[in-house]
Amino acid sequence: MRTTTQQIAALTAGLGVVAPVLLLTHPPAALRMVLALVVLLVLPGCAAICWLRVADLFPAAVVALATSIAVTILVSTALLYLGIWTWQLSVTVVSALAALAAAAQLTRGRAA
Amino acid sequence: MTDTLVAQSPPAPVVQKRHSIAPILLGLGATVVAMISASHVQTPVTDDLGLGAWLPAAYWLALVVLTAAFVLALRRPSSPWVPALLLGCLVVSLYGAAAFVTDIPRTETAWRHLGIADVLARTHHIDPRIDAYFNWPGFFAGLALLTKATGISPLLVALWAPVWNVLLWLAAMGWLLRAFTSDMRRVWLALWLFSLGNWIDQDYLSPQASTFFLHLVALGLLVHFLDARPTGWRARLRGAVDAGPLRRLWQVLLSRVPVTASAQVRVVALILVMLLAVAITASHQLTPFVLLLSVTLLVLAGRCWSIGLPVILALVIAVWLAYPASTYLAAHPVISTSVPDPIPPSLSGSLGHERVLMIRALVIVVIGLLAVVGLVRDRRARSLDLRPVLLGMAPLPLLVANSYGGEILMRVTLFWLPFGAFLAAGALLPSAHPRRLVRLRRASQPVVLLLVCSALAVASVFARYGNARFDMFTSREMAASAALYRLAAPGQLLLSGAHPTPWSYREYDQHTLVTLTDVCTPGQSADACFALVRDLVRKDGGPALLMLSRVNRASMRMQGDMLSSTFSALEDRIRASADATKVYANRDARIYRLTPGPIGGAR
Repeated sequence: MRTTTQQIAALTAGLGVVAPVLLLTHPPAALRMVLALVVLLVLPGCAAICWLRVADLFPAAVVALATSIAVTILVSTALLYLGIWTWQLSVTVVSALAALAAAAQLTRGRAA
Repeated sequence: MTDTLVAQSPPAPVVQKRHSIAPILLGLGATVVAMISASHVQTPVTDDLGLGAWLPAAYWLALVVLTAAFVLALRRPSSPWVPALLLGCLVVSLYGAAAFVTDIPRTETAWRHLGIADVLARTHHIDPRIDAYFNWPGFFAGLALLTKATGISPLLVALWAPVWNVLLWLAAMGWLLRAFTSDMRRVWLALWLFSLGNWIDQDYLSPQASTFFLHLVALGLLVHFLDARPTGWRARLRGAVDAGPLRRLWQVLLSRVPVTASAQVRVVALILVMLLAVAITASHQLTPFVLLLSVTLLVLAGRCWSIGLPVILALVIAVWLAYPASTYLAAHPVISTSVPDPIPPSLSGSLGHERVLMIRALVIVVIGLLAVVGLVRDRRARSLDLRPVLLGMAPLPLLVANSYGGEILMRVTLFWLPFGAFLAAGALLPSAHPRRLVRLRRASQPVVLLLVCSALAVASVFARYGNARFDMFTSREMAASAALYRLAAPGQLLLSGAHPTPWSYREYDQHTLVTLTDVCTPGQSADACFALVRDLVRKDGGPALLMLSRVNRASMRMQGDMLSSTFSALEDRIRASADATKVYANRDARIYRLTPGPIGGAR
C-alpha cells in the first residue's frame, strides 16, 4: 500500500508540474481537454487520497473526484474575488497545490 | 456498519461467470433499444402528460427488460460490476432520454447557469450586486474554469449534465451506504430505487446537483473515517452521579471512541470534510445547512468522532453569510420562518399536468411506505442502523425555516431520498428469518421486485418528464432567442411570456429579464395585463423587446397562470397596438418591440 501511495504521490507531483506547462503551450484541442480534465478533476484528489490512505479503488476514486471538484471551485472562486482570474492562472494554481500536497506526502514517506 | 448486521450478513456467494452473461446482454440490449426509440421522438412534445406520452412502446419494453435484468443480477451471485453496469444502463436510459430526443438542453435554469458562468469568464471578477447567484458563485466559478480550460462546449455539458450528475450521486451513495450494511444487494437495490424515485429534476447543470454530490461524499467521509462508538455512556452516567446535570450531559456527549484507529487518517478526513463544506457553502444556499444538520445529528447520537465539527461548519456558514453573501443578505434574508404551502401553487392547471403531479407524489409515497416497512423489518431483525434514519431526518427542519417556498418540499425529498431508498430496499429483499411465511415471501420476492421496480420506472418517466411540453425547447424557439439578443440594444429590457424561456444564457449582466407571469396575476384580462406591461416598459424608460412562444403558452395554461384564450387575446391586443411592432417571427415564437408613448398620449 505504501508503495502504491508513494507511486501515486510521485505521479501527481510530476503531472502537477508538467501538465500546466503543456497547457500553456497551446496544445491541440484534444490534448488540452485531457490535460485540463486531469488537472481539474484528478490531481488534487489524488494528492488527497495519498494522505487519506484509502485502500479500495472505488472509494478512492469517489473521494478523489469530490476533492478535485471542491479544490477547482475554491481556487476559481478565490481568483475571481481577487479579480485576477484567467483559466491559465487557475489551472496553474490547482496544479501547484496538488503537486505541493503530493510532494509533502513523498517527503513524509521518505522521512518515515 | 453495526455488529448485528455483520453477524447476520449472508456468506459471500460464489460468483459464476455464466450468471453474469444474461443480465449484461439483456441490460445492454435494452439500453440500445431505449436510446434508439427515444431518438425517434420529435419535438415539440404536445401532450400535457409530457414526454412519457410520446415515447414509443419499445422504450417502455426496454425499461421493463432492464428491470428484469437487474432483478436477475440481484437474485444470482454475480460480479459487482454487473449491477453497476445495469445501473449505468438505467441512468443512460432514464436520465439521458431527453438528450436522445433533442440536442437542446432542457429547462430555462440550465441556460441561465451557462449565462452566469459566461459573465464570470468574461468579466474575470465577481459583482455581488447582480443577483443572488453572484453571492454564492462557487459552482459557476468552477463551471467557467472547466469549460474555458478544457474547451468543452458548455451546451454539451448542459445537455448531458443529468446523466453525469446522477452517476456521480450514485457512486457517492454506493460508497456511503456500504457503511450501513454488508449486504451489497441492498446497496444496489437502494441505488436502483433512488434512480427511479428521483423525479425531482435537480440533476441538471446546477449548484444543487454538484453540491449534492459533495454533500454525499462528505457524509461518506463521516461514516467511514470519522465514525465513533458511544461506548460506556451508561457507566459514565452512573459514575458521574455526584456531578451536576450539565457536567453529566457533557460527559455523556464526550463518551465515544473513534472507529478508525489512525489519528492521521481521521485528521485528513476531517480536513477533507471541511474542504468540501467550504466548497458547498460557496456554491449553494441550502446544502450547507443540510450538512450541518446531518453532522449535528451524528454527533448527538455519538456516531461522529469530531464533536466540534458542527461548530466549525456553523462558523463557515456564518462567515460566508456575513462577508461574501452580505450584499444579497442586506436585502433578502435567507432564513425566514415561512411555512410552505400545504399544496404547491402549481397544483391547479391542466388535467394532464395535475395527473403528473399526482404521479410524482405517488412515487415518493410508495418509496416512503416501503422505507417504513424496511425500518420496521430492520428493527425486528435487530439490525437497524440509526445513522441512515438520522441522516434521512436531517433535512426535515428546513421545511419550516427556508426561503424556497413550496419548492423546499422537493429539495427536502432529494436529501431524504438516498436514505429512504436504503430503508425501502430492506423491505423488498428477503429476510433471513426462518419462518415459513418469510420463506414463502422469499420465493415470490423476485416477482414483487420486478413489479414494483417496473411500475416505479414507468411512473418515473412520467414524473420526471411531465413538464416536457414546456421545458423542452425546439430549434425554432432557440432561433427566436438568438434573434432576441441580436435585436436587443445594450441594457434593454427583455420580456417573455413565462418561465421557462430559453434565454439569459448570454449577456446575463446586461439585461433585465421579466416575464408576463411576473407582471400579471392569474385570471387577469388581456387588456389589464397589457396595460401593466406598457406601464413597466414606460417606467423602464425605453423600448423593450417582448418574446412570446409556444412554451410560454403551454406553461401558462398547464400551470394555471393564464388561459390559452387569454394568451391569444393578449397577443391580438399587442398586434393591434400602435405601440408594438413585430420584429421577428417563426412558427414557434414571435418578438415584438414595445415603444409605449407617454401616459395619456396617442395609442
